[in-house]
Amino acid sequence: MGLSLDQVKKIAKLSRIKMTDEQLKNMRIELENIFNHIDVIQKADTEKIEPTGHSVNLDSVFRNDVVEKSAPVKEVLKNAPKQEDDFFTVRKII
Amino acid sequence: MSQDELNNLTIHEARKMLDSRKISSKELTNIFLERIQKVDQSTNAYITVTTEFALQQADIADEKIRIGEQKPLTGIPMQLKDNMSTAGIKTTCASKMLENYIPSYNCTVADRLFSEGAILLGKGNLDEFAMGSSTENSYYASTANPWDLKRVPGGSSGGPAAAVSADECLFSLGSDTGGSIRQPAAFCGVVGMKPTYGVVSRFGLIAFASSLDQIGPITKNVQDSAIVLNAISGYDPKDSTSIKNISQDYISNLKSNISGMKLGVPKEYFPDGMEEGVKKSVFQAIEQFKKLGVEIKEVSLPHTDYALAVYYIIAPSEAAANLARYDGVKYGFSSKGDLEDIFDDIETTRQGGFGDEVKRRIMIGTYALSAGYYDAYYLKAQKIRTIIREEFNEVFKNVDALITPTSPTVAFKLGEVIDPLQMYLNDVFTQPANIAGLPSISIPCGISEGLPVGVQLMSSPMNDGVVLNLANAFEQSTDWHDLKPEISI
Repeated sequence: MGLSLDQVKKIAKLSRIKMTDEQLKNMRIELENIFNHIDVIQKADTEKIEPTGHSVNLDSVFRNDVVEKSAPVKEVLKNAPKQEDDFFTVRKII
Repeated sequence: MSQDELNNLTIHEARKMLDSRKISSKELTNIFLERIQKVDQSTNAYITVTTEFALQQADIADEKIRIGEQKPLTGIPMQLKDNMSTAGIKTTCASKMLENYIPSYNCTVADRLFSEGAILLGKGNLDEFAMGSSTENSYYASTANPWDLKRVPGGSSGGPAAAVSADECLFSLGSDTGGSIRQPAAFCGVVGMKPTYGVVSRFGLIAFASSLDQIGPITKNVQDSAIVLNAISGYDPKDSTSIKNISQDYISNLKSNISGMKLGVPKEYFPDGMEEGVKKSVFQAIEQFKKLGVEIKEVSLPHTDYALAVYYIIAPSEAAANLARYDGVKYGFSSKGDLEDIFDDIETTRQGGFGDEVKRRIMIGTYALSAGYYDAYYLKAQKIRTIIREEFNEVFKNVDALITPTSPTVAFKLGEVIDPLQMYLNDVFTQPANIAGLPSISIPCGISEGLPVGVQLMSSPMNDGVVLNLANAFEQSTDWHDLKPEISI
């Protein structure tokens, strides 16, 4: 497969990672090599095969809707780059 | 304690010494802290050493032993890989992104080990976010292999494997998404086990690829592995993938008679171009199993060739989703630029906070999940995952376990493997067990070019005991696990 620089720019945008032009160029070559290898999967016959998401069968887990002790707010907020009162500070969104 | 005594000390032996009061937990802890101080500047197996916390825990352990309330791990000094959350203790994932992150809670395995009275010496080095096979992707310095300091210890649990090998702890916990416990264990000449997916809780393990990640012990021998697995396994309501009703006692079920068991040799795991020394050691191990009365059968797993590609779609896809949380708002590195636009801010934060390999994997995953490619990559990979699982199920109808090399090579030199795809090929024999959720162990089985070789055993899900029994019997009849590196400090 071939990957264009525009495609790699789009993937970086979707990944929310800023990249320099040089980094994008290198990443294009690396991704192309990796996907050339990965493309071997197209040869496998998967007609009528169901996908596996997890190796164990998962059941939905429910618990009673009871209030439990919260994580210590001050401790949790200590890790935030910016905080005010008992809240995380975020940039203006709209 | 002499260097020889320390070399040969296992959890089992240390327990006897602690219980008979030949040594106190505090003395033992100090021996390990001194050892870390002496050799870690050469190995770099630790990111953080928790001296004060360890000595406090040792005092509590000694009191428990005094009043006769000790458990199997009370007073035993250990390490945790630095992607396992520890309350009040930095948990960095070897990333700049989490350089100053201090969790407010413990992961379940830490809780279980602390309630047993195990002593935390510190946090082990790893490839950033557990993405890598050499520990060279650590934001901090690479870990060195104690057998040859110019070589890699493997990865991503390179710190834990090197720490056990260099006697910088009595055991460590690693995490294994595609071989990250077993491959470094093989490279460092120690025992590394990845239990069945769901046997050990992942709560508080900083997520890489949730459907593949599993925590397991890295130890000096198989018996110690069973002791640690007893302590950390079991249902946890905080992990929705945790298996209910596990009540296995891996210690009392540990046997050394394996006569009559059947071991499969999958031909796809012995490709052309494999390192001769590795091949030779693994074939010798197969001969040894024959001597122990095990029946050897050649088997075939034809879809093995797809496993690497399947892994490199599923793991990065899950990683892309899991690592979306690092946006510089709730925790971790922030670009701290005065950017008006929130997206610009997030993109700059992730540019500065993540290393190259993490970015690469996020990009692979994002692409595989993106509109127009989802069916061709992610869905297709999940379908092949079904085929790989079914192939294993079919083979396990005829054999109890499979025997393969852990890695196609012995430890390579630091800086030797630069191409990402070449690096990925390291895990070609270990990834299938993660894809199918199988229990799997790597144990020392020989020396090639002066470096340890590991042999891998895999069995069907929930047969962790089978894998341990086979490994135990092999170990008791050989002395490969007794060989120790001499560290040139």
